[in-house]
Amino acid sequence: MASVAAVVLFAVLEAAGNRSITMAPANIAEAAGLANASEVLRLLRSGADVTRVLPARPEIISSAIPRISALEAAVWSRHVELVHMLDDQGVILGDERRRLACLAADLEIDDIVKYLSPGAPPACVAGQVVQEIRDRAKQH
Amino acid sequence: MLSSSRSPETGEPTRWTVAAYVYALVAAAGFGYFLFAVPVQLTDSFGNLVQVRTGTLWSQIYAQLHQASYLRPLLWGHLRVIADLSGGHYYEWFRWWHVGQVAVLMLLFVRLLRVRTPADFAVVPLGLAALAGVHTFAGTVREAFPINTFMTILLCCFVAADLALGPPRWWRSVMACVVMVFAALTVESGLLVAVVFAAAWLAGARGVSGRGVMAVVAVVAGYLWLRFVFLDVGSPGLMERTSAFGFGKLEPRDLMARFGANPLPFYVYNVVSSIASVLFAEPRAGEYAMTRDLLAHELKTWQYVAVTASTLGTLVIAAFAWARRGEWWRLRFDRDDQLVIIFVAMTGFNAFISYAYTKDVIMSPAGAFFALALAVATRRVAIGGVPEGSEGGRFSWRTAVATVLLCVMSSAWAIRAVGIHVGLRHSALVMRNEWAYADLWFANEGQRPTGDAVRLKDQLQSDAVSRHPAPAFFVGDWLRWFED
Repeated sequence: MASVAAVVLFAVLEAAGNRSITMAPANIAEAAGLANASEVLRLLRSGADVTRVLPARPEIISSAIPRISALEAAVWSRHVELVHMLDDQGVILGDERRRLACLAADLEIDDIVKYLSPGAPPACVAGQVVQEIRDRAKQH
Repeated sequence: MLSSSRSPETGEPTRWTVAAYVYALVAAAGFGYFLFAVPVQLTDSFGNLVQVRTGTLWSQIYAQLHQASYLRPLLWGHLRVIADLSGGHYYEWFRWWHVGQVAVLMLLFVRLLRVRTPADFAVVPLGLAALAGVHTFAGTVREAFPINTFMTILLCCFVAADLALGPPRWWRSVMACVVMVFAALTVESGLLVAVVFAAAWLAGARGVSGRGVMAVVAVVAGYLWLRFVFLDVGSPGLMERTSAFGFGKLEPRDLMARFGANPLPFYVYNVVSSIASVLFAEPRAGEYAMTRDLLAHELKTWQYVAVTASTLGTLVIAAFAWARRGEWWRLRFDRDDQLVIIFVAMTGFNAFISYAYTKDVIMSPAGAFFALALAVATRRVAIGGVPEGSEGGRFSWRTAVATVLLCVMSSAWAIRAVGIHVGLRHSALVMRNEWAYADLWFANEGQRPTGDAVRLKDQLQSDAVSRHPAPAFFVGDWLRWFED
């Protein structure tokens, strides 16, 4: 009987907006950081900007990265499929591709580096993109 | 001649009967809340939906009579009927259909328990927790094609048990044949419905007459003739899938190298593993994962819980059988005995048909009857065994130990039952992500949907991603008790 009571109580609390034992992304950057691809796609289709730097809770990436864009968070999630899906949606434009490849290189995520820069390694200053993202914490 | 020591339908429904049905509906509603959030799958459902929407209902059924290796015309007929009824609202219809199936299964479970007294009602929560929490059940709810065929067979088995255990009526024999035909032509494991009728009859249940049981056997014989002689459908290869063996998995080529010359030891392994899986939750799908993890000091909390729940449940059923051995020896069976005997027969035959390939969900009929057997055994061994009068007030170590074990078992099953809901929430997220990556999946599969299939893909993707967005996911250390 305890199991049914627990399930019903949870359903009622969740329907009322309680999030004490669950987590849902607050924006598209958080969704990307959690590799929640369906939520990323949903927010993208409803007009969210994947290049906009948004707040992210400490448990999404880390406490050192409180603000991040959805594209950066997608790389940080280490899911090449997510980066691929965003690319298929046509939102990785211009120099952002090289910059994201550099971020992936900084984080040593080889499959994403190869996907974003298939011909040759990207021209990067090692650690620069990660440092840029970390510096946002100091600006706020 | 076999006999039943008491009428299977004695006693009118009471308020405890009503309370049990209400409880089952509340449990089903909680289950439905999580189940409805799981979208129609991409990987196992999209192709079926594309195929089933072509031609007419009859052309679909006719085409399935001429497939190689499988004979499942009514599975496709079932799919087609729901697809047509949906009017294009596939998410809502297929998900509600699944929720409805679970609700009916839980109501049938309560009906089979025949709740009349407070003691009867007391085991309903444990029984339903075991029904939903047993590991063989997960595959009937965590995926769909987009109708879960294994769930359909569970329903057929419970309907069969209800027909067999009821009072003798001519129409029950007719219905037995109808259910048998439907189950056999839906999926191969539907043949297990015949085991329910035969085992119930051998245990003295006469809801379906002897002639009715003979007719069911004739239906099975007719099915075998239709399949292997008239249609020459044949069977899938015995070693064409990756199978677990011992602590790991063997690829088909490894299976051939190891058992190609003499597959009998592999078949025996699968049958014994399938039985042990139902009784002890180890191995799982033929793989002794818990033992392996124990030896590697990597045991997970949920593994303790699963094995504790199933093993204590098996002990209670064994204690029931021991207590009833005298009556059984005299071939006198009451309704509780009959349910336990059906469980034993079902487990044996279910394992037997898994000889070539075993996985948890294939054993789901045995798992469902395990829950029923556990409920009736607990009612008799634990609750029915409490002494009355002055003796009842005296301390007894035996009673104390039994009480502690019962509490541990009930707690373990409660955790397992919550765990299936946690698993459903996980499935809801995983399957939505599959839809987000649909184009990648099609590319990897070498498929390129065209025309109507593109429109269907867009619709189902929109349903899964936008119209019914991903629910929140669970977080916290407590999950280690519930993950499976």
